[in-house]
This record gives sequence, structure tokens and C-alpha cells, in this order.
Amino acid sequence: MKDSTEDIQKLIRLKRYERPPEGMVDDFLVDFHQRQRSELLRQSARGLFFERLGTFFEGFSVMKVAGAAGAACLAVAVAAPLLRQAPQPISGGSILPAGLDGSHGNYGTPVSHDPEDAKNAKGGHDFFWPALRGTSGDAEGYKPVLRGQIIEL
Amino acid sequence: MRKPDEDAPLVARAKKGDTEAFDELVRKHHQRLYGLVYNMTSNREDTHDLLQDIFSKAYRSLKRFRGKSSFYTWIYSISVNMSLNFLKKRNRRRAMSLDDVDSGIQHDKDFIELTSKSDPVRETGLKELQVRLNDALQELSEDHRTVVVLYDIQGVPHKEISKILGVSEGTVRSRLHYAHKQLQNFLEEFRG
Repeated sequence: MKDSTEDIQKLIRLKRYERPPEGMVDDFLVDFHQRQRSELLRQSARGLFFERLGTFFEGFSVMKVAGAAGAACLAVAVAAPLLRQAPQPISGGSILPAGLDGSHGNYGTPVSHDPEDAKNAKGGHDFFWPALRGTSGDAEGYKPVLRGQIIEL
Repeated sequence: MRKPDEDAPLVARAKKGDTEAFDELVRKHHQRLYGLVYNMTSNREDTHDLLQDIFSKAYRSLKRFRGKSSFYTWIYSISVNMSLNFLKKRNRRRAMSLDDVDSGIQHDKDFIELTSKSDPVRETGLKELQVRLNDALQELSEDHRTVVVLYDIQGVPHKEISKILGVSEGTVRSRLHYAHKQLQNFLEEFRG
């Protein structure tokens, strides 16, 4: 039995004679060059953008940023102990921490750690904060603490 | 021993940025690649756009081409892959475009034989025959159409097709056999 796929293959092979229109290759190359130029321009625009971004951030040099960060840390380290000092309860109502209001040393009566005392303190609120101890300069009888009481002036 | 790649000198120059050398490669391979892509898509505009993409990709990727295969095999692989990806994304078939037929067909022995023994072939005008053949090709799946286009139309040997597609020769032959049977059904009226 004749293999009729052979005839079909012969028919399909006739498509080898199909040709694109005349001059297609030259037109194709013109379009191709145009496309390559557009792609180059797009790449240049992208490259230019990243270059400008790089220039902008160049002003923020690593040393400058590190220096600024270091200065900030130093400032915090200096200010922290001062901020920890308890405000001084003096008549007239100043609650400035000792030292900042010109006085020294006397921080009033030592604060009780007994929650019952906090409750019973005159004018005080019914709450008790655990006393926070100062880290240095603890004079006998004095413990710089964060008071949980609001003292009536 | 492998035959030296005749495109090697042009490829070497193009890699160094010689655009004239790449233009030469385009001129050399354009017609064959046109035939491949056109028979995959049956549409001239799609073919033109795809070829632009194919040669652009080849140009951008040229630095990575190591010469393990010939340039021809390499660019054929790119063309087949991009055509298949395009066809997968294309929702519906575009209107068919017919290309001119070289007058040399009148002297083709297969054409003479077919027209002498088969009334349907003889009586069908060339344009109508083109339409019927294009329709039949489009009925095939993309994978089967690819092997028919490469083997039957482009005349690429089985071994080369297997390298282009990255499949075994057995797979190429099996797909061809199945595709021919399918075409036989689609082109029933032209059976001998």
C-alpha cells in the first residue's frame, strides 16, 4: 500500500518556493538599526539616572555620616546622667533636679520603699513606683530616686 | 570532526562591536529565518516583529555565544523558542498572509509529478494550494508544526533538529511521523 504521507510531504515541501517581498531584507535592516538606536538611548537614560543618583549620595560621604552619628551618641551619653537626676522638691515649687537649680545635695527625705508609705503619703497619689537608685554619688542617707509621689506645694 | 563554522569570522568581528559584521549575519540568515517564523505564524506582520526581536536578542546575547554549536544552530534555537513563546501568548490566530511563490516551482519535479497525476492538485490554483497548506499547518500543535517546518520545508536534518530543539532524534522522528499522519487527514482531498 502506497504511503500517501509521501505525497503530503511533497506538497508541504512546495512551500520552500515561497519568498518574502522584494527588498524586505534592506527594509528590515533599516528598522533593525532604528530599534538598536532606541535601545541604546533607553540604556543611556537609565545609565544617566543611576549616575545622577550616585552623585547625589556622594555628598553624604560615609565619614560625614559616621561623624554625625558619633556626635549624636556622645551628646546622649553626656545628657543621660543629667536627665536621670530627680527633680529637687523645694518650697516655691521648683522641681528642677539638683545641680540645675543651683543647689546641691539635699534631695529631701529618703524615699521609703514601703508601698504602704506611698499610699499614706500626704497629698500623694495612691501609687507606688519602685525606687530607682542612682549609680554613683550615693551619700549616706540619700538615695536619688524617682519619686512616685506628687508633692503638694 | 566537526565542520568549522563558516560564520565564525563574522561572529568574532560582531562580538568586538563591528555592526557591519552583524548586518552581514542578518543578511545571510534572514531568508531562512523568515521562512521558519512565517510558516510557524502564517502572518507577515507577526513574522517581521518576531524577527526584529530575534535578531535583537541575538545581538544582545552574542557575547555569551561560546561557539559550542554553529551560529546557525544557535540562532535557529533562539528563533524556535521565541516563535513558540509568541504563539503561546497569541490568543487567536491572526489573518493569514500569503507570500509570493518563486516561479521556479514550475520546474520542481515534485510539483510536476503532483500536478500530472493528481487532479485536485492540478485544478487547485497555487494561491488556493498555499491557503490550504497554511491552514493545515496551523491545525497542527506548535511542537508538531515546528518539526514539519524545520524538516519538510527548511530541509534541516533530524540530527540538527534534535540539537535545535534539545530533544532526542527519536523524539524528532516520532513527532514527524505523527504530524504527517495529521496532515494527511487535513489534506484529505489531495491524497494520491
